[in-house]
Amino acid sequence: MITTPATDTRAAPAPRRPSRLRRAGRAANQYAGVLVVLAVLVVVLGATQPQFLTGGNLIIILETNAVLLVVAVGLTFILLVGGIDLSLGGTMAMSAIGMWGLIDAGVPAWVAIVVVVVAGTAVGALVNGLLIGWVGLSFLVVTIGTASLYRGIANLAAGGQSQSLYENAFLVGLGKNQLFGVPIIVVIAAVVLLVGMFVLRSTGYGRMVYAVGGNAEAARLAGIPIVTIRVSVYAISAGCAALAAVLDAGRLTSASPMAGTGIELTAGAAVLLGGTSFTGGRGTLLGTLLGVLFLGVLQNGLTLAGISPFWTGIVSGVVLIAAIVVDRFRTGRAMP
Amino acid sequence: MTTPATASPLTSDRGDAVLQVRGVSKTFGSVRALAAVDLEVRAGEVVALVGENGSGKSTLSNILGGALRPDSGTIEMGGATMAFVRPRDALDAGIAVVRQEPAAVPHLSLAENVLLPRLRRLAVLVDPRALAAAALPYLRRVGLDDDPMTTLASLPPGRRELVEIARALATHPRVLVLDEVTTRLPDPEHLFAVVEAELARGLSVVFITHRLREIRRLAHRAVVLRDGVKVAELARDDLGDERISSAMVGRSLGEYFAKRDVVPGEVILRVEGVVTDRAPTPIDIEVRSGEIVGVAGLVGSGRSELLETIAGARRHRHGAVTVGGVTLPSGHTRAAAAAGVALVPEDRLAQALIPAASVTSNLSLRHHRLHRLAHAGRERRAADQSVTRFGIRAAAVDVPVAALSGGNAQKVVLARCLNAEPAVLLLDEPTRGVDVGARAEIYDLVGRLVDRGGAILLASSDLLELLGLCDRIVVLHDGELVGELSRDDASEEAVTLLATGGHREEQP
Repeated sequence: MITTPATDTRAAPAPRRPSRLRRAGRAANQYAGVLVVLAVLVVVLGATQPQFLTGGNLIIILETNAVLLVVAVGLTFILLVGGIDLSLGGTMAMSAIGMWGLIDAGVPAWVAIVVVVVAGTAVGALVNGLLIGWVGLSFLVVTIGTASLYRGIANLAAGGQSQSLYENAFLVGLGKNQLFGVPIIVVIAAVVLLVGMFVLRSTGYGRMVYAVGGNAEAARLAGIPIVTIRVSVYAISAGCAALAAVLDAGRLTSASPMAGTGIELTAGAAVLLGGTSFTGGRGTLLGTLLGVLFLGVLQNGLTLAGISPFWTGIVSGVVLIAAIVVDRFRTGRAMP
Repeated sequence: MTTPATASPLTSDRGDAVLQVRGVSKTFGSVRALAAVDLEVRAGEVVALVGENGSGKSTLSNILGGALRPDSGTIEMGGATMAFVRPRDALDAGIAVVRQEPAAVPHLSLAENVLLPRLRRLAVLVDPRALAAAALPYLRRVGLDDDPMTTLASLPPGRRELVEIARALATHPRVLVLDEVTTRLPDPEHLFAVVEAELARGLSVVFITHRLREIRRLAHRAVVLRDGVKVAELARDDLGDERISSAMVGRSLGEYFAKRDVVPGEVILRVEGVVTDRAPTPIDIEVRSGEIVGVAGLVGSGRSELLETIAGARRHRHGAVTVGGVTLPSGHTRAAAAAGVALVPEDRLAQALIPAASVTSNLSLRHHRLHRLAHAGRERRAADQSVTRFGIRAAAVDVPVAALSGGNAQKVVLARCLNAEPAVLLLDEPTRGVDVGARAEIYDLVGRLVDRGGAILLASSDLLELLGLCDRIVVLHDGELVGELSRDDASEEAVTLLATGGHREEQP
């Protein structure tokens, strides 16, 4: 209800605060789709596959999906402002080959890694970011173009060949070593996720990302620098892809110009499964984590059960489309 | 009749000028939106900015808010000349604008919506509780008692607008510009109470509205714009309806449109008990051959939805729409068109035209059939004929329709409808953003259809247009048909009263 304007703010009644339970319910509702299918999957696999619910298997799931998670975290920022980046696989390939080139030229591996991540971020800001956020070109057209461009550069530089990094102890260690029994690359992916969550949830920058995605005109009129925000999400996303390329190269101990082929679509499916809106302004990284876990558990379970891994694509596609159909009917926006 | 624009500023016992606008001009392409407009606002004062649609009110509000840059002229705040490059500059200078279009971010919290302009300064860490505490006093000042941490989307529509007022107050403005805000508010009186409390704190307000009653209620002075020119400045004692409306229009109703004397024939369009998602109460309307029936109502009252339902662009849940005795299927535009219904929709660029396509392509849209080849030469000849017949001023028929002025683009839409010789023509805001000359030509084209026995349903927020054109006016309020006025009973006051939901019990 609307009260009469209070000139004395101290006399104002206590705010009507929804109960903690209702808030939790509302939050769960947002992830309902992916949570239900994930739970069903875990229960079924736990009951039928004795190896599924073991610590070792859990580590395997996390390790095989750490790279995807890092890419998906970056992509979430872009989807939140209502864009998409189809060049993330290309960015990964270019970063991997760039790192191999630096190491091959005698640069220490850790320096090469820092250079590649910084350069990846800068390229994301200067190419996709400026063309989309500043010039105002279509994100689909620009990133289809840069996807082809980056992949081409990687192929040219590597002569189309996968390049071995087996000689490099630092990178081999990155892919193989563990910290308290958890693979280093999983730890790194978790750190990226937690930093991303903190930035989106608890910084002015993060809230501006939601504002620009939710209502760009309102954000502009409120003095929010929408061009800067739009450019920055492409920088963040490309930086994440470059880091993902480093982790991928460490895991495989090689740098390939075919690295990350199609990963932007898999990551996009994970982000959307996690409840992030394709039109922007709504979504969380917790949802993205659930989306990645769903894809990871699905693939792992099919492998354990000896079913063709190609079913992963079929099941995740059906679940994604089912999720948006259910959402559409629930919000009741068919024909006016 | 009207005070000359050159009249010296009216004396006031209020404070010094807070905002001084001098000679501000703005043109868009060939359209002059503002010509050397002056505006002075003193501390603690409410200045109403009044004018018809397209008179330049919103252009001026956009310039004050830094969303548009003037071609010439200056804006001074407290004596210092300002140059606003972007909205942020205006906010920093102490001008906050609440616009006609909703500007809330649905999935952010109330607190974040209120403090939106401050988010960029909180670049590092946001503590939701601190944010809620900072936003709370502003929410209280506009009378909202909700938890600042709930999302805006969970608030009912009537209250989201108040969050935008709170956002404006949170920037600590010296001047608050309210641009047609009351059309979005279910209870304008509540806003007025908020504004009066803020006036006592020294705020100044530029109040843009087209409801005369609200001007009398709130304003200390009124500045009247017509076609981008300041035509009058009225002191509080002069704020009578007659003074304001004659200054706004600058011509009498008789000049506005000469309704031809056509004797209405049989009923062509019959709307019986139609219920839509937007309008839960059944609606009944009949329109006869040779008759123009007006549909009045505030923004959001369901005018456009009603017209779109008749045209088959929306589904109805109950009731029937019949044209010449044939019942139309619900939500079927092609069937409606086949029965002779043509719609000129509210937003011509978004709903009626393909902006990048040529005048020819836009005119021939209705002729395409799956089983028929397009015939470029024939289309072009037809387009040439239409351009001559409807007086469309275009460089050539193959220029993109987006290059045409608002009035000529509207004539393209009208030409496409009239070429089909419709039995029923539905007009939704047919003269919005159309200059005076083109307006008269559009009225003439509509009048010729009436002569030939067409039935017309005209929805408009321009009351004088409705009063001048229509044989009868039906009034909608919040999706419900609340009254019908004959040509003799219809007046601005009578329509406004019904449209705002006043004195409902006294109406038949």
